[in-house]
Amino acid sequence: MAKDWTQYSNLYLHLFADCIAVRGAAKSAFCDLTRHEIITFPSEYYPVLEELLSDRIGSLLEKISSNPNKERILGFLNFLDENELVMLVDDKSAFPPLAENWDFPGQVQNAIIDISTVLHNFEKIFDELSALGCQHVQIRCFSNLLTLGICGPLLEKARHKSIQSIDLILKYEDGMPDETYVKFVESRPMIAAFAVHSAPLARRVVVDYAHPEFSDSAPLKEIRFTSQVIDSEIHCGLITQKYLTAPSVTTFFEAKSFNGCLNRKISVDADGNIKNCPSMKESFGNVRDTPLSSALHSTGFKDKWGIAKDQIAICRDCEFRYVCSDCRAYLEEPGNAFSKPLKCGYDPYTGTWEDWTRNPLKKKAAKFYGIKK
Amino acid sequence: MPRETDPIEPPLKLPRSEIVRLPLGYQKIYPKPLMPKRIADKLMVDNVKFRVRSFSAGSNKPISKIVE
Repeated sequence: MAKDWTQYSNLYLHLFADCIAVRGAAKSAFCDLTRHEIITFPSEYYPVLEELLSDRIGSLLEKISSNPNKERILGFLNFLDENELVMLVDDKSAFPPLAENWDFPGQVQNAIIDISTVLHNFEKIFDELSALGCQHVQIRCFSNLLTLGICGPLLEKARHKSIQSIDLILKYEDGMPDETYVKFVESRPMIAAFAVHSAPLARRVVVDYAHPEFSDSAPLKEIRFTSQVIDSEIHCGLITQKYLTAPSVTTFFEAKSFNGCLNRKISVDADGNIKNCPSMKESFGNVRDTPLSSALHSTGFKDKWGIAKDQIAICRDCEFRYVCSDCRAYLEEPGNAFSKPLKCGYDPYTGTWEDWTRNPLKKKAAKFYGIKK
Repeated sequence: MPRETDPIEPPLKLPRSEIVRLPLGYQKIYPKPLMPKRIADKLMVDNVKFRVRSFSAGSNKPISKIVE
């Protein structure tokens, strides 16, 4: 129910410090860093928002009393209130903004390790990642080389290290019952996410509900079977709503100042080459003869860590720029490190999502990278 | 008028967990959180509101974006 705003004439409207408005071209967004929500609104209202936050309620009501858009402005005011984005305060100086600092207690935060025809020396890789303080590892296998039988003992090597979680993306094993997959994940709490590609039937199999009473809500852990055939790293780099990062204080301010994907990341491609990302061409050595720390400290390795969304063409006008994990491997303009991700189908100037593969302007770049779809 | 240090008697129905015992020997009723749940479907104009989930145990951002 709408408030009677005249009762609050002496108060100011104040946007909660953890609800940050991000202006986009067509739409803008409130990123709620505590409730992990994104709430969008038409960018025409952004100046209205700034005006509403600038003065006491009484003065605002006086100002808009003769405005032909009075009802719409009041509607927006009620929208802010009903969505609990704002509070009423008498002294705005008592509510400072959040500090926009980001740091991490390790040289590397996450790592990707790809497997195709060669099984790397995981004991060595995990030891080296641990020395760098790496917390999250994703293992992607494009072939049947990494079976569950091999994967189990391999994951044991990651225990008692800095590694807190492992994401697995493995190829479907013919005839393997779902129960085996479930037991595999159940018995290894370190596995945070598990996707099985090239499966005959796309489906989700629940491993663990948060609580039996909440079985109708989203499960805590599940195995995702997809019929998508992932036979190389070329499939990576998708920017969809699903891949927007859940807004939080940590991820938001990291993405604001650094690259959402590459910052504090190290990767080992299927041939053992150490890279920022397996999809990138530039290699900084091979795990067979180069320690990860040497590659990390090579000239140029950290150059892309600092490419923030505000520096990227088109993305800088997108309301999702601080919740987007970006991609620097596949670009709309392959020679321009600051161009929009090729596989992003969002147009911030219309506020609409589309299938990026159908955009004729992207076909040339897709051909350049050898993307056939 | 009671002084600030006078004891405030909590209503009988109030659960004990909502009473905070302060060191000066008086009791104060701790207010309930004043934050009702948002109504997810209450949208304005063409607004879109959606929740992005992530596994709490894993990385708080996607490590790669390879599965469609």
